[in-house]
Amino acid sequence: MQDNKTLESPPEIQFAGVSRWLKENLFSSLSSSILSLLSVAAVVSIFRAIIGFFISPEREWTAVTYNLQLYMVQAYPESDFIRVWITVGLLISLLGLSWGFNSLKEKVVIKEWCDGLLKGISSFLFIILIAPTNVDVEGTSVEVFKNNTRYICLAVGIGLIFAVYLLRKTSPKTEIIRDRISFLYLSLLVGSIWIIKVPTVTFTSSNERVDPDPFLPLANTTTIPWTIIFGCMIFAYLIGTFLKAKGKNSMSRLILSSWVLAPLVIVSWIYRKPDFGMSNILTLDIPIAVAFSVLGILAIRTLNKEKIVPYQRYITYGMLALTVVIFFLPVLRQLKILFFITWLLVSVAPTIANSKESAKNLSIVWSVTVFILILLMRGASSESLIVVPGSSIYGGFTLTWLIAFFGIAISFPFGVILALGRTSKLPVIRIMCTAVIELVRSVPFITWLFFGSVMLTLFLPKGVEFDEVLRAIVVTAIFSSAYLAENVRGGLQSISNGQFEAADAVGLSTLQRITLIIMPQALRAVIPPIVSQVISLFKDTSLVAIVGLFDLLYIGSKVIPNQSQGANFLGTIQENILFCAIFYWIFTYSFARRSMKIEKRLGLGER
Amino acid sequence: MKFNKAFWRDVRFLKWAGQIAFLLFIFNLISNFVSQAIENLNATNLPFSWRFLGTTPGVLISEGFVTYPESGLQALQVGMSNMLRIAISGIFVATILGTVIGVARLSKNWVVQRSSTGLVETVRNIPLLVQIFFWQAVILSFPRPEEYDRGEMIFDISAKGIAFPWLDAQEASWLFGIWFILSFIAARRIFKWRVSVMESEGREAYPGIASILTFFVWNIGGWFGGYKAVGVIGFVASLLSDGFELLPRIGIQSLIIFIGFYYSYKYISKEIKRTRSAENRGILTDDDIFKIIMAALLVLILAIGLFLPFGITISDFLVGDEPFFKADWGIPQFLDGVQNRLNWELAGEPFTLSYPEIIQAGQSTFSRYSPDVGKVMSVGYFATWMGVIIYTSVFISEVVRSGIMAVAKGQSEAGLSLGLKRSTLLRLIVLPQALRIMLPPMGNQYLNLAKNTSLGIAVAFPEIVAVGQTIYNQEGQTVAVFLIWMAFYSTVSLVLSSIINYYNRKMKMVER
Repeated sequence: MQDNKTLESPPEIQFAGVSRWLKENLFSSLSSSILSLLSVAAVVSIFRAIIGFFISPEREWTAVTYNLQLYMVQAYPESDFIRVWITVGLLISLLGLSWGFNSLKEKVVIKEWCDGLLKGISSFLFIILIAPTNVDVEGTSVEVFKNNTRYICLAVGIGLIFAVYLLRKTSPKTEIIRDRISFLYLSLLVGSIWIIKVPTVTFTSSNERVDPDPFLPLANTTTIPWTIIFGCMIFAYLIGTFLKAKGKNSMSRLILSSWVLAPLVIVSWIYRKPDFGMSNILTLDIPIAVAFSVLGILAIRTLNKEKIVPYQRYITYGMLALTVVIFFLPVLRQLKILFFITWLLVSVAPTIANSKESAKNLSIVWSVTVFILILLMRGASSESLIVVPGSSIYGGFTLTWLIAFFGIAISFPFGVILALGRTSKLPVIRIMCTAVIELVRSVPFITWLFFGSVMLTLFLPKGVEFDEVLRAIVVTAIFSSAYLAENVRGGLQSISNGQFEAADAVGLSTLQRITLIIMPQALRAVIPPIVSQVISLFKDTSLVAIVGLFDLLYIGSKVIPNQSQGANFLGTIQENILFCAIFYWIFTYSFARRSMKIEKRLGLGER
Repeated sequence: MKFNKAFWRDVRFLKWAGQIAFLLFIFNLISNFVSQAIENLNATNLPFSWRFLGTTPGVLISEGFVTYPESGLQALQVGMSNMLRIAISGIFVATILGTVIGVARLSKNWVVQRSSTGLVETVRNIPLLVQIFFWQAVILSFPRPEEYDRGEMIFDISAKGIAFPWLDAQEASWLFGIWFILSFIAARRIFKWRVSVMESEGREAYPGIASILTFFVWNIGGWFGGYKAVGVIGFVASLLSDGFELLPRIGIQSLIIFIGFYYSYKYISKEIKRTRSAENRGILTDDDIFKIIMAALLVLILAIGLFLPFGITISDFLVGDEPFFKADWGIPQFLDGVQNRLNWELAGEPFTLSYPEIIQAGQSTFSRYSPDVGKVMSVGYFATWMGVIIYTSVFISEVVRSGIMAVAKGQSEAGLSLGLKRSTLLRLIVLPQALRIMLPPMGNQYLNLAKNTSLGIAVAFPEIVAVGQTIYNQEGQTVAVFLIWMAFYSTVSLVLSSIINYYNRKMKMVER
């Protein structure tokens, strides 16, 4: 793949005229011509019907626009919306930062860009052209799309085509950076929130709905936050490109760890609004954190002293035993987790911190980790000040994201462990792992969700209570890890025996062999199936609607079609289902397209 | 075993010790969970039991072979049959539809190719549940049956579902059904025979025409009384049933044990024989030892268990009076059923055609389709069925497309250069090779389809998950219902994947 680029690129296919193209692609034979005509007729009539459905006066699209807030965050109190915006802003700024940092500065020739634009504009023209003028409403035909509007749209479209064509003709070879085009589109999107006006449900002072609905900007409360967030994103992008230009490659690790950290911070501190109590932090958390970071630094220092080296193994075992003992003692949960990670530190420190400099680095990482961890735990274990009557504070699209993200993130390590277990040479472990994987895979996801919502508490001691959302996440993670394990196993099987033997010949331990030799190759080989697994998991999160969690689909299919207070949206199921479908589609489709591009860049699946 | 060092530092010892410790840990964990669950269940006054399978649940199941099931077991059976109805018909339709879309995506015709690509990209990026809700909304947007008079109808769509004519089973329908299945086998035999004639004698022997002719002659002959020949099966069943009653209970147990011993003996000897090859040099690996021990252990447990109360339960189960709940099945009951349904004294037309009708629903002003005549595809069935089919067929189309594209271009070029027609080329050269690549992923899609039918619960279609949920809401036996779900879906998956594996083995390339 790499070599091909230096070779001559294949000759460009010359466009040989419209009639030639038509003859080759539509009318190559009699049967093909008939097929073309029939399918054109079918496509046009289907599109006409769909457009007619969308613009028919029977459709109550205000049911969607009025409830956008409900769709996104469900009943999150409006007084705390700043927290939602901080969440969104944080994530989008991070996105901008890593985009800027990892950008390849790909360049597009104006000609290609214009070709794409022309395609887009002509499909817009096609839709305008075939849109029906009249639609049937209970037997009578109603004019919904005035011909004047159609002409104006057509004129604008043709004007645009002409402009793009001119651009293409005048400077066909000029190159522009692809990212700038994306920013152009994004700024158009943000601008459109300010400009585009839609019929909005409004109420008079006596709580009666104004009829007809006045035209107001779409979601007019969100315009300023979105604009600020867009600004933040551009700023972060610029910082990212600046860091890249400075050659600060160590930043990539920092960005990666902030991606890991950001969701945790959001979940424990930003979105929840914890009632933490400053005295708790000062008197309890900070001393514990200081003690553990000192302990860890001491451990790192001493473990590599020559006198201690022979006893390293026994120290690790002792620490493990201590961790297990602490786990069963009635102490603070923070301590249990801290002891566990101290054990991890003790077991990896001898290999990682073998020089002075790396010992120093590890000490810094350790102290920071301890502080962050303890603050996160403080946030997560405090009571939330946000009260949402009758349900969790997560709802709507936020819930969909939460389940998808944490389900996938948690399932990843478990999936890898299960896959390793299934390919292990030790029969007991292999059979156990195989049994778990097959058991989980044999039953549909929805039954696992029922398991989570009805049965999970049965298997736990009394008093241990799980949040409804947390149970859904746990079940999603279990389910996803079984499927992931099968994908990873495929990757493990694709690795030749020579790799294992080579690792053994070099004298690597089992752990080193897996982490340094086998896993990097195996995971690389199965990125495409893992990506499609992630996409299908994102789609599957909609199933939590069946067990009664307030996710996007539940709101669209059950809540809004039953709204009758304030505005009456009874029976607006079609509009809301279509909105959900489009919403999901935009996310999955763009994700799939993006990942396809990345796969192509990595040259996966082509070897 | 001879140890060179102290045994606790020997890797063989450590491996097994670690595994046994792990096993003990897992067993301990599971038993902790189980005892916790038992404790919690006892605290709620609903201890675990299977008794609900025998008692009348008192629930209404909106569709299926029984509306008011007599027992929990029957209710679950209705759910299972509903699920299988969608899964089996869905697999056939989705395969056909998927193949059409897949071929359309490879078409040279621009419009066809583009529109099918658009369809695929749209459907596969929308969650299935949204699609099922969508189809439900579509069917609910039709007018209700009482809104206007429809007169005599053959085919009708309303907010109550889709109604169409249907063949009603009569007395002899089972006889004819078996006869009909046999007709496929007969037609296939004739086809093979004609092909062999064609190949050996080098003359045209019309295999296609001959097999179609056989099929029609066989079935038309069957319709007018030929089906009575199937009665032989009923006769054999009656003989077997008499023989079974003579067999004492201990005989059944011994038979099971004998079969168990036989198979474990065969398995172990096969394993040992395998290690005696030149590659393995007669060395038993950890794995082999483990397998042999497990096989022996399992059959021993079976043998001991069969003479304990558990064993009596199994044999009771087989003769059809299981003590926990009164089962209406078992080997003698099954044989009786066969005997009654496949009796050659039954006569008359096996099926009659009936048309749908609209009747008043109870005392209300609403109307619905009559459940007795014609066939009604209910809203839930339609939504689930449509959703599952369209969704799966799009994925199947991708499988078909990649399968066809994976056949080397040289193959079709070679075929063309031999002078084959396009259709023959596709049938004889491309498709057989593509099928080989397509089968495993296709099987995965079938499994997904079977599991996805469980989403019917969202549109109130009473398949196994929905029925199970109704039952545990009534009886509180969540664990038992979950075990039944698991057993049912595992069985379906196993059956499906073994069918696929069978074809896969058959199609596999014979390596040189």
